[in-house]
Amino acid sequence: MEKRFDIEKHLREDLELSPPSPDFSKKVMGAIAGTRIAPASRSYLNKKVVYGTGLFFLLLIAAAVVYALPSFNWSAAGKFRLAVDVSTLDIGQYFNRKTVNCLLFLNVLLGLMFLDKYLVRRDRAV
Amino acid sequence: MDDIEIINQVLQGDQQSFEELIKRYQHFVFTIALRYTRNREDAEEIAQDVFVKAYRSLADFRRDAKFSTWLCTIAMNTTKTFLRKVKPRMDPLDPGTVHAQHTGNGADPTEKRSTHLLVNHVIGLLSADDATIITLFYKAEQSIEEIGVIMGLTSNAVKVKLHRARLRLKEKLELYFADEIKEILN
Repeated sequence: MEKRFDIEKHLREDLELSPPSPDFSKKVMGAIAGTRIAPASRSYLNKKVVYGTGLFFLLLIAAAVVYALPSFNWSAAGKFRLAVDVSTLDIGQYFNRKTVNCLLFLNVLLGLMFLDKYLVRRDRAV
Repeated sequence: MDDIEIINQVLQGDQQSFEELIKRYQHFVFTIALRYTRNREDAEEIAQDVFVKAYRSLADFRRDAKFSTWLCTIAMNTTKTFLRKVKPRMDPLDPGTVHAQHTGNGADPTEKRSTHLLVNHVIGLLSADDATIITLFYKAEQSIEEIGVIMGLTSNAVKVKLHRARLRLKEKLELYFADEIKEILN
């Protein structure tokens, strides 16, 4: 019977890993000598803040959708009618240019706060 | 002492214990980096970066996976980031060069017959992904699922890739080392 080269067997028995230079571990220990272990992300990531931010953006999207509804041409959708007559709602009174600017400003502010926290954390880690 | 005990010691402030983890896994990390860069200098730079990153983020290691899997994931990501920034300094090994190294003048006759050398030479002819997947499976004791986590693939994709990598390895062996294989088998 013809012998076969058992690749599976040879991979298990003969495959080798390449060693780095002999002083590799010393080099790494030297590199980490001045560094500190960063605090676990679970210790500084407040879930309430994460959920709060999520809720804020959801509300923002919901507000934009509600604002867009009155301008929609419902007659194009056939005889379907909403239970509430949205055309009577004057959402523009609350959701105007001033409100949008305020929300944008708030977004920029949140972005800057996030950047500041990130930079502070990075500096501490170094 | 197992990995978790060492990690706990390091987290409690015993920085020197980290050296034991480096010694345990430096071969895995260095080999993964070398498979992609094919340059020892670059691979060592990447491996060093991997261990420094692992040390800094040690508190984030959640222990729901093996430390080696977590470390290999960092190694994989660091290597890919490195390759995006830096052009590799060496081309993949030329099959002719490998063949010459294996059967060249002055080669030890026993070495010529060695399947050990044969397998390790031919692995250098495979693509980096193929060589890495084979290394992780056969040497780093990573399961299909763990390799999936490391390489960002589904388990099924890993199975298919591993199977194809083995086939390609066998093809290369038969293509470049047919005579040597015959000698080994006889």
